[in-house]
Order: sequence, then C-alpha cells, then structure tokens
Amino acid sequence: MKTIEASDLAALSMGSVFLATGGGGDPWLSVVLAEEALAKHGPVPLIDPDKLKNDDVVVAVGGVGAPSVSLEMLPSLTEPMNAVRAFEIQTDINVSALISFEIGGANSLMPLQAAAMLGYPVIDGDGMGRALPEAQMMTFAIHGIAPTPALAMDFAGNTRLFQNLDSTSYEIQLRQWTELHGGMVTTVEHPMSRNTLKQAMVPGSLSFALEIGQHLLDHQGHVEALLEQLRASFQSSIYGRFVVFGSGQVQRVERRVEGGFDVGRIALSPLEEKKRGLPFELFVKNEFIQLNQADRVLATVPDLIVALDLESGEPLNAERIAYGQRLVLLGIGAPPHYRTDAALQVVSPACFGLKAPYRPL
Amino acid sequence: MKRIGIDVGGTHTDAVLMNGTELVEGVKVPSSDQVQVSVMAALDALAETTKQTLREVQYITIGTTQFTNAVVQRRHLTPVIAVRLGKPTGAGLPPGIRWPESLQRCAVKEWLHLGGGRQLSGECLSPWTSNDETQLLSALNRHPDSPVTIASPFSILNAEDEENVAQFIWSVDPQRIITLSSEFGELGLIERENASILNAALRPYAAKVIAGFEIALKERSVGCPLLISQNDGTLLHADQVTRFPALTFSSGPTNSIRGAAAVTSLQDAVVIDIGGTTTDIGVLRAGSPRQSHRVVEIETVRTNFRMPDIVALGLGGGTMVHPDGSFGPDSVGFELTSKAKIFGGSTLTLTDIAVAAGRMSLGDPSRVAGLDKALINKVEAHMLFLVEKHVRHMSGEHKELPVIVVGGGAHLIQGLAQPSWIFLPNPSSGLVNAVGASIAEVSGHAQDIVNLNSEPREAALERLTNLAKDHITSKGGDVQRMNIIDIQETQLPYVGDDWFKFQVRAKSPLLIQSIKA
Repeated sequence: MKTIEASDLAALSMGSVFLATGGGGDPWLSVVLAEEALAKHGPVPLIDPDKLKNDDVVVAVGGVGAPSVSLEMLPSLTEPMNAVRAFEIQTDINVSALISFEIGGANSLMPLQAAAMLGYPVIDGDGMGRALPEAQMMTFAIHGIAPTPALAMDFAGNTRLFQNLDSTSYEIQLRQWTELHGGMVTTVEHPMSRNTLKQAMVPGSLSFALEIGQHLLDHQGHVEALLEQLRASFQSSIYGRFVVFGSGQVQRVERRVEGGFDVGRIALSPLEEKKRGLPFELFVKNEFIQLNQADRVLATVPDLIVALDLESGEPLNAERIAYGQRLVLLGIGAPPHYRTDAALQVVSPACFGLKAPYRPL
Repeated sequence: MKRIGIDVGGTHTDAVLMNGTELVEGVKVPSSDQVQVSVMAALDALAETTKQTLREVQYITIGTTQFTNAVVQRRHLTPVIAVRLGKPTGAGLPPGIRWPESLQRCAVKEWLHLGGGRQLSGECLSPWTSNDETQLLSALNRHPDSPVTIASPFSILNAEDEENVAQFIWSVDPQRIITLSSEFGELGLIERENASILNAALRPYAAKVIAGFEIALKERSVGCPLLISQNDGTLLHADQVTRFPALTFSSGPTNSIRGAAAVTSLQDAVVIDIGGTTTDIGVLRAGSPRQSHRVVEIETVRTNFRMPDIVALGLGGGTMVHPDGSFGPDSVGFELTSKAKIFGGSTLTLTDIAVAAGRMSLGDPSRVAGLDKALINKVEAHMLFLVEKHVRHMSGEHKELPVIVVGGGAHLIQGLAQPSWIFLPNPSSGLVNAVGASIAEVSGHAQDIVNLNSEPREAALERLTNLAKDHITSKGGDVQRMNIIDIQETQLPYVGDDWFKFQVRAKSPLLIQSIKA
C-alpha cells in the first residue's frame, strides 16, 4: 500500500506549486503544518477509489480565499481536522476518506494534514489537476455532483453549513462568507460515493505532483535539464503540449484583492535580444489566466501557465513575484476533461472576464 | 577628496585610503576580539604607511561581518521575548519554527501568543485583553534583559497594533529594546518575524560594536562621519545600525563584489572571493551585485532581507584536506600559520596543496615535498570542478560573463583556472572588501498613500520618484546616476478599493566619486 510520509512533502509541495500556475498559496506554511501532523500521527495511506467500499463517503477538503491572506493570517494545525469533525457532526455523515479539490498549491497538503490527525486515507486524485479560483470549476462540479452539504470554518472556529442546489450559488455564497470571515476559510464539501468519485475525479494527480516535484528538486539551478525532464513527464501524462515561451524580467507588478481574489497584472521585458520590443504581460486572478506578448495572446485558461525563477528553476506564486525578478514562462495544454463543452462553460477565458477566445495550446 | 574604507573581518581587518577613485594605499592587520582595537590598529597602520594625517578624511565607511558571524557562530546573541499577536491564528506555528535548534535557543527566550492583530479588511482580528497584558508583564518581569519583538498579522498595512503594544511596554519599562515586524515591512508574517528576532537578538551586541567603532575614531581624533555599509551596498549612519544590525548581514560579500568592480572597471562579471575558510561566488550586474529574489535564508531561517545572490563553498586557504582527497568544510581559518604543514603544523590544508604543486611559495615547502602526486592532482581537480560548476550555475544564461578572482586564497586556483579568468594583483586582491566599503552608495526612499481615482498611477510614481531623488540628494548622492531598486504597490482594502500604499526605493553613488570619463 502506498503511503505519504513526512519526507515526501517537500517534493509534493514543489510539484503542487508548479501545477498551481501562480496561485494556490504559499506552500511553506502548509508543508510545515502537514509535516507536524504526519510526524505526530504517522504516514497517510494513499489509495485509489477501488479500495473504497460501496457505501463509503469521500469529501473534498481545502482552503478557500485569497492566498496572500495566509501569509499574514497564519493557518492553524487543527483547523482542517476540526472542520471535517464539524462536518460529520452537523451532517450526520461518516467520512471514510479525503480528497483534494485542487492539486495546485497548498490545497494538495491540507487533506494530508487532516487525514493524519483523523486517521483517514487520502485518495490519489483531485478535482482539477491544477488550481483555479472558483468552486464550479472543479471536475466534481462539471460532472454535476452537488457541492453540498458543505461546511466552512473560519479562523475563530465559527462554522456555516451550506445546502445549495448548484455549484454557482454555492460558490457565490461561500465567497461572500469568506470575505466576511477574514478572507481565508477551510471547507469540507462534495460528499461522494466510490463510483461517482471514479467518474468525476482527475486520477493519479497526487502521484504526478510528486513526480514533477522530484524533478524540480533534483534539477535546482539547472533550468535546461529541468525543462527536458518536465517535458518528458508531461508528454506521457494526461496533460497536453508543453511549450517554453521565453524568459523576461519583471518591470511592474500591480496587485489588489477584489471580490475575494488576488487580482493583478505583471509586465515583463523579454531577456532575448531579438524580442526586446515585445513585452510580456501576465494576468492574474489567483492563478495566471492569460499570457500575452505585445499584441499576441500566447496562452489562456484552461491551459496551464507557469512561471519559474530563471536561476533556480523554482516555480513562483503570483504573490511572490517582485520587481526585477527574472522568470521563465511556460505553457502546458489542459487535460482533456477541461476541453469538453461542459467544462468550457465554466473555465473558458470569458468566465474569467477575458476577451480572448480559447485557443488550445 | 579623501575617504577611508575599512573591512572588519573575522581574521583580518583591512583599511584603504581612497582619493577620488584612486586607491592610494591599503593595509591589512590581524583582527582582535575587540572591534575598537582592530579599527585603531588598521587606522594606525594606514596613517603610518601613507605618512598622512587622517584629519582631511571626509568620511569613513566600515563594512563588517561581525553580525553575520555572531549568528553563524551563535555568539553575542541575546535571546528575545517573541510576541505574536492575532491568537488563535498561527497556533502550531510558534516563532522560531524550523529554525536550527542551536540558533533558536540563542535567539528566542520565550514565545507569547496574544490577542490583537488585524484582518485583511482592517478589522480587529481578536481582542487584546487584560489577560494578554498580564502575560506580557509577567514575561517582562521574568526576563528583564531580553529584547522584545512584536509581530502582528497585516502590520504592513497597519502597524498600530504593534506600536500600541510597544508603547504599553515602554510605559512600564522605557529602556526595553523593541523591534517591530513592521520595521522589516514586506508581505509574509513569518519572514518579518524571523528578521525581527535576529535583529533584536543582535541589538545589545550592536550597541557595543558601534560604540567600539566610535571610540576608535575618537581615540585617533578622527572627526568625520562614521557610516556603515548595509546589505544592498548603501550606507547607514552608525546609530541606525544600532537599531538595525540585521541590515548589515551581507555587506561583506556586497562590498567584495563592488570592490572587484571598482578595481577592474567591469560592470558585469562573476566574482569569486576565496578566503581563509570559504569561497563566496556572486554576480555583478550593471555595476551592482545581483540580488537574490528568493526567500533569503540566514542559516536556513526564512527572512525577507534583500541580499546579493551568493553561493558559499567550504573552500579556503585553511580548508582541511582529508586522506581520501576530499576537503572541507572544516578549516583551520586564521590558525593557518601555526597548524598548516608548511608552517610546522600537522594539518594538511589547501594552502599546503598549493605549495606542494608549486603554485605558491609560502612557509617551508620541504615539509610537503613528499606529498603523493596523485593526491595533489585529485584535490586540485576537485577544487577546480567545484568552482567552475558554481560559476556556470551563477552565470545562468549569460555564459560569456568575465570571471574575477579575488581574496587571500586566490592563489589556490591561479594557474589551474582558465586563462581568461582575471586574477587581481596583490595587494588589491586582498583589499577589495575595504575598497567596496569605501565606494558604498546612498539610498533614498519615499512612500505615500495614493488614491488612484484622484491621482493616476504614473503620476504617483513620478511624484514619489522625485521625492526619492530629493532624499538621495540630501544624503550626498548623485541623482544623475540614480537607479530604482524597488517599487511596491500595496492595496489598502480597509480604506477603499482605490487606495494604495506606494513605496519607491532608489540608490546612487555618492556625488563626490565621479568615475573617470
């Protein structure tokens, strides 16, 4: 049986930051908390849905809010566990296993933190295969699975139980509650049975994040070698084409918190001599949602846009990007479940307020 | 125009007398345990060598690794009372979490998790109660000599909570040393808190060190201003260093890179500084050390300091060579002249290898004449491999950058390295840190709260850039050669959607040091 140990968490968090495409929150704090939990309570079993019994229930656990909030209003060790317990008490549902709603970023680690403290296993999979800002963008939602009953818990331990008929109204109400309760909360949602889960989840994403993360750790400081390894891993994965757009130096960072999201724009001047007059522009809504070069649209959601530090190869979150930094900009085709008509209803560029049409990489 | 640059190192103290950009003279004296003794000895040696009085000197700049060394060696630190506001957020993440245990013990006396703090919206996070006051007073009484740090969520947007707690402490103990996390203001509570703790723990020692420098200058009747170089190569007045010693952590490597630039007149290069115990490799870009933009770790402690991107290797003149041909990181350091084989000692060091290979003549070569040739070759090959590997890593995509080698240990690889590498001649090679200290720059900054509805972004930035220029001019900087080093725009959500805090930071060389046309 595969387990996740405390020693796996460094690679997992690296890989999850990569797949978070600029969002997902700072993983360092989540790694420390998950390490504390696993060190105290032992490794967490990583299972496929086939290991579940017919009437077992799996819930998705994670943080919701603007990621920069956690850099100041620090998370606590027991909150995810307390949220799952509160969910079980208030809904009268016995939870058998946990799953991540998005493998991108700190939310890949929170289920492990809760699972260790509760003694539950974690499913090798997630609801996105990346990170995205809103609940209805999860594969669970796109497959029509009800997000509720769901429970949110804030930093002070206050809870709110949600019963919504559809993901969109759940997302709106949850977001409002989050904004009024510090800007970052823990939620327990999408209760699913084994068969539903198998249909709706992105399979193997936790293992894949570990694989990508190991490459990132192994090739720190050697960006060329790193890109080769990543290209190979993505080639034999569920993701699409792997593209290197080039490198640039950050000239301007504009950011604000709007409607509960980290919104912003980053301007970069290309480092390649011949591209000098063609600035890059990276648009952010928690994640990187569009990359332009001069007037040309290079990539948009749902395809993945990733920024690596040019010297170290480390993937960077939007909130860590600063004036003067030099970055490598990558694009990776979204997995097939995001290219369906049903999916594009909720993850096309228009859903993020962008005018560009979706042209798959 | 005359100025003196002094580099106070762990092993040696160097001093240079500069006239404009010309290096008039330089001296190197052994460092003492007491900084004032080191500085006086260096000033005396300089005065004697140049046969000049020091009265005409317009300013003295000191670069020192005292504070870095204190942290690395876990010496001269006074453990602090670390106050964290915003309970219950951060339960399970106490101050000092993931610090090396030995450092945590020396730097943190006690942790208090108290109420207060802000949410993103500006609202109170949790109440500050009389229970919090009681806990605080109790800790202050139990640890009368401990400095205090205060870290509060979102204090970068609103430092009131931290300031109020500080005022409360000073109302009962006016002499208490306090560092607020908002004084190291960037997003990231843990990094700010870590920087504050390291800073506060150094403050009692900093007071002694700065007093020592001032005594030395007074004893030698030197009346000019005393300036200390900080992390980014700009200058702080001595009393500012007493409050912010942590800002000098990387002034050593910064000065060595800038000194190498000044002596070679290169603007872009890789700089290798080989010392007694370590080799530091950094990069010069457009005349300044390339800054590290990752979370800067001091002894693996995460901080938000802006520092040069340096890789440090355990490779120096005193590095110990093991029987299997591997070496370091252990080193005999300044005890080279008693412990190395060429000096009659019994420790095989990299200097011994260099002498045996005929690269240096030092000590008694006959004592290493019998060394196995295969061992010498193996060690030298590995030294070269290690240095070249990191030079390539640091060069990044700029593979054609010139490479400058400086430092007392440069001989170790001279003759081994590629012919294109630039080895500075003695005595310049060993004096680059002091030269770098002497040509330090000044920084200016300006900040304001801006409403984008009434003032467009470009106009606000221009206005603040002009204020930063004025600030630099007032410090004697040359605005014609001013560089913007940082622009930050932070939204203030509790004020309203269009309110931002804008900060502009810039630096420039001092006006009096014009580069030869």
